[in-house]
Amino acid sequence: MARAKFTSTSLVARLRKLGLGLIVPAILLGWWEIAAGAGAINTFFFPAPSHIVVNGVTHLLDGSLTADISATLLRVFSGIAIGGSTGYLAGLFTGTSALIRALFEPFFSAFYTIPKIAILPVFIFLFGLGESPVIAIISITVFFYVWVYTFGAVRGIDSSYLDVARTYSASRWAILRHVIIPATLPQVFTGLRVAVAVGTLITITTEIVIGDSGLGFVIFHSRMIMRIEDSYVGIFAVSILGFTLQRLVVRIGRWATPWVNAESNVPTREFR
Amino acid sequence: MIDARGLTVSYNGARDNTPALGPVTFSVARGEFVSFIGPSGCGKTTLARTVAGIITEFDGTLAIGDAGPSAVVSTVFQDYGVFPWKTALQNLEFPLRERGHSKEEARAIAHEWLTKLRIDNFADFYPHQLSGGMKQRVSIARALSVQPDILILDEPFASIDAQLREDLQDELMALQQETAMTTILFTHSYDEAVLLSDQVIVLTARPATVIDTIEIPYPRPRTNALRTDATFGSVVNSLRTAIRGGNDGPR
Repeated sequence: MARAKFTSTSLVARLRKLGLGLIVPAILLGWWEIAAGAGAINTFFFPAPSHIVVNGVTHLLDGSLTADISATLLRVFSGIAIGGSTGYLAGLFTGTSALIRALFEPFFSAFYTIPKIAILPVFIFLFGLGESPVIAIISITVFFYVWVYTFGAVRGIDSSYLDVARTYSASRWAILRHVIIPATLPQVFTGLRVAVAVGTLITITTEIVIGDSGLGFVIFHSRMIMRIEDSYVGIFAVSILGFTLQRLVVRIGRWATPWVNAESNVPTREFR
Repeated sequence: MIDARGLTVSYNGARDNTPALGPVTFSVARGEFVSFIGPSGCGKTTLARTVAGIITEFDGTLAIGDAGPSAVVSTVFQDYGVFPWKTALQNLEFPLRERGHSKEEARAIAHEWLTKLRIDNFADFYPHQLSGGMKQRVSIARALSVQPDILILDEPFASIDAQLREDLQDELMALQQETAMTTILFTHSYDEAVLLSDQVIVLTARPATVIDTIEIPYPRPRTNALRTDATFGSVVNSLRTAIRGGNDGPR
């Protein structure tokens, strides 16, 4: 339960978990740093992490990196807003209505497996150049992930909950609001977390292919003009961004579903 | 109050087309407490779900309540059926609001029933923070709070330990006598059936049919002192004999 999270033991547990999570990246970066310092690797292609960080901070201060981060973030957020909301509604509709399911489910399932970057030219043809095809391709990627998780969650609701609501002669709307939506929320957030990761991925990929701004563009363009260390700044920034966004979704999900014992390592008291 | 004649339920797509239940014929009078007892898998839950109005496709007739289809039916199932995403209080408020009570009324009635089942201290707890016994109290409080015409209990205490089961049986007995609510209980327990019922209907193995109806001779109001009554054991035994005889013999 929420109250138990702030006891001293759980704080220790949280710090311990955080520390454990840092060990693997620290070791990898440490080896890289040492190897670069000792001249064991070509620092033109593998600049020392410290060098990359310094370079990143410089670009943060001169504003160029911030501009690219916000460009990428704006695309990711637009895609999540558009694709997430439509995917969620599509999941609810295909999950609850046999007719809509029969009409759309095969089409969605077939479309779901197409790598969306493959149809980028179609989107450019449809939406022209500029932001529109980029937002469209991110939205559609997010759409399918959120749809598939929501759909699965609605189909998988324990029917005993629906039975209970029906014996109390709850209306369709009440069943949706009091049973279907809350029952599926944990899985919807799992889907959203995956969608955020994949959405970030497709944003970067699209920026590499057709971008003139954003972290994907930084990664690709810097390499083209032989500023390899700037390319690494982009790569580091993407991983930090993706990590942060996923954590954000997990946090919001926990807040929105307080009945889920998300942190199983936090001891919860059971009352008898 | 409940009148079933030749009630038969078959599941769609069952290959051999044998019914899951029936034909069963029985009737339950207003205010009566009737238990159904029978071997595992005989179709008790199917019968419970049919009377509760969850299963709507069946052969035969099923008349419920003088109020007709608007009769209020509440259910308590073995797996509690409490919504994990609602606190104990919210679990009670939901059906009350659906039945047209205002927010304030629903809250007041919910607290009243949580208090009756001695779990009002846990009103704001989520089910995962409650033990099985407490979850079942929430489920019972929710079922009773809507003042149902008919209460259906499907093995409500099967997954609760013995001590707690007796407490809940005693509480159910008192509440049912207080409200004089028509109650149907599906159970495996001979003791439970004798303690609580006016009538016990014995079912055969699947597909269940009625083989016997046994009147339980104890007058009401009863108390938990009945458990230690000198005749209690022999009544339980005669019930056991009736069931064994019916189910061990050729069908």
